[in-house]
Amino acid sequence: MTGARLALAELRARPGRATLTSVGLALVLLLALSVTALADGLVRGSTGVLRALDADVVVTDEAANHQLLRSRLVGAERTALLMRPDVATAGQIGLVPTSASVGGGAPERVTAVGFSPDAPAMPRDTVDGRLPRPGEPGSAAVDVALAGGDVVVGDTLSLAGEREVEVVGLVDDASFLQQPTVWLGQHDWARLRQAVQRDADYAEQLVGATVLQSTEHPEAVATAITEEHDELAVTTREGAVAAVPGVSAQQVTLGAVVAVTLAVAVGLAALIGVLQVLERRALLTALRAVGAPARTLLASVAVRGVLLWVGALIVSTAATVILATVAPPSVPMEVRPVIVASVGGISLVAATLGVTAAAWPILSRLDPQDAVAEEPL
Amino acid sequence: MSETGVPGDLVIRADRVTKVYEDGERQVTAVDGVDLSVHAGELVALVGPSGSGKSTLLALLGALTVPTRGAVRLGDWDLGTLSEASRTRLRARHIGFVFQAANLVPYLTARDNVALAGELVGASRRASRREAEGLLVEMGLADRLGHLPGALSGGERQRVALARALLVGPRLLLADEPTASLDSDRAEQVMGLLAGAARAEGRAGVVVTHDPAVAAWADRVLWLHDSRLVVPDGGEERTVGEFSRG
Amino acid sequence: MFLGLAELRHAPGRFVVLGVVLGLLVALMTALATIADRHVTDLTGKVATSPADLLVLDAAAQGALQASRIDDEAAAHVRQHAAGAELAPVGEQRMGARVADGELLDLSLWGLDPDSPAAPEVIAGRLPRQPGEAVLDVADRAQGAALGERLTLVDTGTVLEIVGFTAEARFGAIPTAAVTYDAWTEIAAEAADADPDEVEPTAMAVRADGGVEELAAALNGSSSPVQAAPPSSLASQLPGVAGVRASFGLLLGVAWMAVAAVAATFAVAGVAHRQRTIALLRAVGAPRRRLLAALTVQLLVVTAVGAVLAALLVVLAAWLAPADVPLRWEPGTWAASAAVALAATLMASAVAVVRLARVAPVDALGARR
Ligand SMILES: Nc1ncnc2c1ncn2[C@@H]1O[C@H](COP(=O)(O)OP(=O)(O)OP(=O)(O)O)[C@@H](O)[C@H]1O
Ligand SMILES: [Mg+2]
Repeated sequence: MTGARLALAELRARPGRATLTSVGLALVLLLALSVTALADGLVRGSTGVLRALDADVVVTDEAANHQLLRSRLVGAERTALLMRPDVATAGQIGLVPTSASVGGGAPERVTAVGFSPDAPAMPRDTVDGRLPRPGEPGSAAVDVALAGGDVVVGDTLSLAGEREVEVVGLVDDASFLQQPTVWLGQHDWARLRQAVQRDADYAEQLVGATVLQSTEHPEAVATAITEEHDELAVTTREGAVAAVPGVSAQQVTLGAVVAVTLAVAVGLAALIGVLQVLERRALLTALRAVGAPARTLLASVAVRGVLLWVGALIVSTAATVILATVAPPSVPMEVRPVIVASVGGISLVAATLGVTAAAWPILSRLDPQDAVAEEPL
Repeated sequence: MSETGVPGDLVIRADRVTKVYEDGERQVTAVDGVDLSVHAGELVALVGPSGSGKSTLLALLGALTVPTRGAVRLGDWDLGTLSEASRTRLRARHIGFVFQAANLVPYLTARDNVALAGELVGASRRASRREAEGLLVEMGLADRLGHLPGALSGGERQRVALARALLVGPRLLLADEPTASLDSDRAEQVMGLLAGAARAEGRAGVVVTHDPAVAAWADRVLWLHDSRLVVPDGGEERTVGEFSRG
Repeated sequence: MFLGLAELRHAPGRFVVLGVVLGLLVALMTALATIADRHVTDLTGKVATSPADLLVLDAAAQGALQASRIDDEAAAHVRQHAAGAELAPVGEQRMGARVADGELLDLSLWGLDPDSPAAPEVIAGRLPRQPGEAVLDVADRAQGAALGERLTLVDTGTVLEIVGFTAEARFGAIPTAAVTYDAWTEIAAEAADADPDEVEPTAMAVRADGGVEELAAALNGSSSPVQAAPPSSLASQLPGVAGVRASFGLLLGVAWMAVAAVAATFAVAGVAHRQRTIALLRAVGAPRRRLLAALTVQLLVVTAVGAVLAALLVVLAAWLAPADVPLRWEPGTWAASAAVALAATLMASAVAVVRLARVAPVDALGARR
C-alpha cells in the first residue's frame, strides 16, 4: 500500500528525526514494562511457595484467615479432610521465618518450609537433586535464589545459627514474601521452629496449613468444606495467593500505575500523531495537491507511528532486561515474555488509535490549495 | 541611471565578493567576484536566470551569510568580520527584508508582526505597536491590523512585510522576489510602495526579481549570469527593454 | 516570552496534548513517590516511631522482627553490657482480629509497657494500662476503629477496648495494635497453648543514660547474640524496605527520563515544523537566545499546567483509591515531582538549542526548502 511505502521511504531518508521520538516512546514503554515486571515480580516473589505446590485447595484455621504463616493446624484436620470423597490427597505444610547461611557465609533471611511427604505439600519440580526424604534428618532442599544463586547440592546450611543441614536439592521460583525458602522434613522443621519460636511446644509436629488435591472443582470443594467446618478457612490456591500479605494491595497499586503509564503512552502517541502531521504539513499538502487521498496519508502517518512503536518496544524491552539485571537484588523485577507481549500488544493497539485519532482531524482539513500559497500555519 | 541622478552617500558596497557553498564533495560557486555599490536614494534590481546567484548575493548584502572571499561593507562595518550576534543586531537595526514567501510569523497579527521589528531593537511593545499601526495605515491596511497572516491576501501579506521591514527606518531595504506570488495589479501596488520606501531619505534598496515589470521600477538593473555580473557595476548597462528581450 | 505565549494562544491543541502527557507523567511520579513513602511508613512505622534509643533483636533474625526472640542468654548479655540503661521488653505477634463485628483482619499485636523506653506515643486517647485495653493506629479507623470500640483477637477470643490511637505507627502494612507487655505475654501464650513464663520478648527497648553509639557498640561486640540499632536504622533494614525504596526509585528515575524525552521530542519537533518561521525571525534580527526563550517559556508554561493537572489527578486518585492503596495527597511530594519535571523540561529545551542553531537566517530567502 502507498501509505506504508511513503512511511518507510521517509524513515529511511531521515532516520535522525525518528530517533528522538523513539527515545521518548521507549522511555514511556520502559516505564510501563518495568512497572509491570516489578508488579509481577513482587507478586511472584511473595507467592512462589503456593505456586510451587501441587495443591489446588488451601486450608488454614479460621483465625489465620488463609495466612500460611499464622495458621496453626496440626495433623488432625488433615486426617479428617482425607476422608472426604471430594479430596484426593492431603498434605501439611508449615512456615517459619528464620535466617540461613551457606557454608559459613553471611546469614540471610529465609522462610523455612516444613512439608509432609504427601504430593500436595511438595514442590512439583526440583531443578537439581531431590527433596529431603521422610526419616532423613539433616537434609534440605533450597531455593536457587539463596545466597544470591551461589548454592549447590552438597553445601551445608546453618539455620538460625543453630541447626546444620545438608543441601540435597534445589527448587526454583518458590520464594515467600520476597525471601528464599528452605524445604525441610517434618522432624527438622519442628526442631527449628522450637529453636526460633521458643514459646511453641509442638515437638515433631507440622504446625501450619493443610493443602489438598481435590477431585472436583477446587472452588466447589473449598465452599463445601467451609460450610461444614466453621473452624477452618478454606480457599483455592489462587485465593491463598491473593491473601498473601501485600499481594492484593500491590496488584491494585501497581495495576493503577501501569494503567496511568499506558494512558501516558496513548497521549504520547496522539502527540506524535499531531507533530508528525505538523512537521510534514507542507509535504502532506503537496501530496494532497498531486492527488493522494487523505486516507493514504493517514495510513502513512499511522504506519510510521506503528514502526516507531515497534522500534521503541524492542529498545525498551532490551532496556528493561538490562535494568532487571543491573538493579539491586532487592528489586524483584522479572521480565517474562508474557509481560512484554501483553504490554506491547495493548499499548500498540492503543497507540495506533491515538495516532490516528489525533492525526485525522488535521489531515482531513489539509487544503490542497495551500500547496501554492504561503507557508501553512 | 545612477549616472543621471545625483548619487547620494554610499550605503553598501561589495568588493570582489565570492560565495562558495560546500555541497558534500562538490563546491558550488554561487557568487563569483562581484563588485557592487548602492547609494542612498537608489533602488537597484538584480535580475538573471534561475540559479545565477541572485538570492545568494542578496544574502551577502543583507548579512544573512558571510562571503568566502572579498568584502561587503555597510557603512563602516565589514560584514564578513562581524560575529554572528553582531550581524543579527545589525540586521535588526539597519536592514529591512521582504521575502518571497513565509514573510510573516503565522501566529502573530499583522500589527504584532510589524511591531516585532521594533521590539527586536529594544523599543517598548506599546511604542512599537503604535508605530506599526501608523505604517500599516499608510500601506492601506487600516482594517487589517488584528488579522493573522492566514486571513490576509498575498498582496496584503507583502505589504505587512514591507511595513515590518520599514518600522525601524533601516538604511538598506532588501527584497527577494517580493511579488512572485502576486498578480500584476497587486504586484504594481506592492512595488509602488517598496520603490517609494527604498528611495526615502538616506536609504537604498535592492530587489531581486525575474519580472521585467518589477525591474522597471528600479533606477539601475544589474544582470547576474553564472554567478557573475554580466556588465560590471558602473559599466554600461542594459536597458530594461534589452533585459525583457532576454 | 511574548512570541512563545502568542503561539501558545494561537495553536493550543498540540500544547494541550503535551500538557496532558506531562500532567499524567507528573501525576505518576507524585503517586509513585507518595506510595513509596507511605508504603515504607506502613511497613516500618511502628519501629521507626519507637521512642527508644536502641532496639535490640536476636542477631540470628537478621533484622527481621518476626524471626527474633530474646532468650535468657541474650537478655543477660543486654543487662550486662547496658548496665545503667533503662530496659523494656517488646513483644510482636501476628494474629487474626476483628474491630467491632467487622471483617477478619490480620493484626500486628505489640506488647509495650507504658512509662518504659518502649512506650508508644498516642495522638488521641491514652496508652493501655490494664490487660483489657489496646491502642490502634489512626490509619485503622478505616476498619471501623474508634475510641471505646471493641477489638477481638480471634485466636484467643480476647476482647480488648480501644483506648487510644497512635499515628504513622503501623507494622508490616497491616492494622497494628499495642497492649501492655504483660497482656501481650498472656495472649501470646494462650495462642501458642504455652505457659506465659515461656514466652520470650521479641526485642528489647533501651534508653541509654549516656552515649547511644558507645552503648550500641558494646551490645554489638563480636559474637554477640544480639543486634542493637537505633529504631530509625532498624526500620530501614526491615524486610521489604530496601526493595520498596529501590524499586520505586528506579521507576521514578525512568519516569523522570520519560518527562525529559517527551519534552525534548516536542521541543525538537517544534523547531523542525517551525523552521521557516524561525529562519524568518533570525533573518529580521531576532537573536537565537530570544527564540530559545520563547520555546522555553512554552515548555515551562505547559509543564506548569501539566503539574496543576497532575495535582488534580492525584487528589482525585487519592480520593477514589481503595483503603489498602497507600495513595494520599501530599503537597510536598507533588511540589518535588513538579520541580523535577520542570528541570527535565529545561534540559529538553537545551536539546532543542542544537536544532535551533542549525536553522540559518539565510533559509528565509526564496521559496527553497
Ligand atoms: N546552501 C546552499 N548549498 C549549496 N548550494 C547552494 C546553496 N544555496 C544556493 N546554492 C546554489 O547556488 C547557486 C545560486 O543559488 P541562488 O539561490 O542564489 O540562485 P537564484 O539566482 O536566487 O535562483 P532563483 O532565481 O531560482 O531563485 C545555485 O546553483 C544553487 O543551487
Ligand atoms: Mg532566488
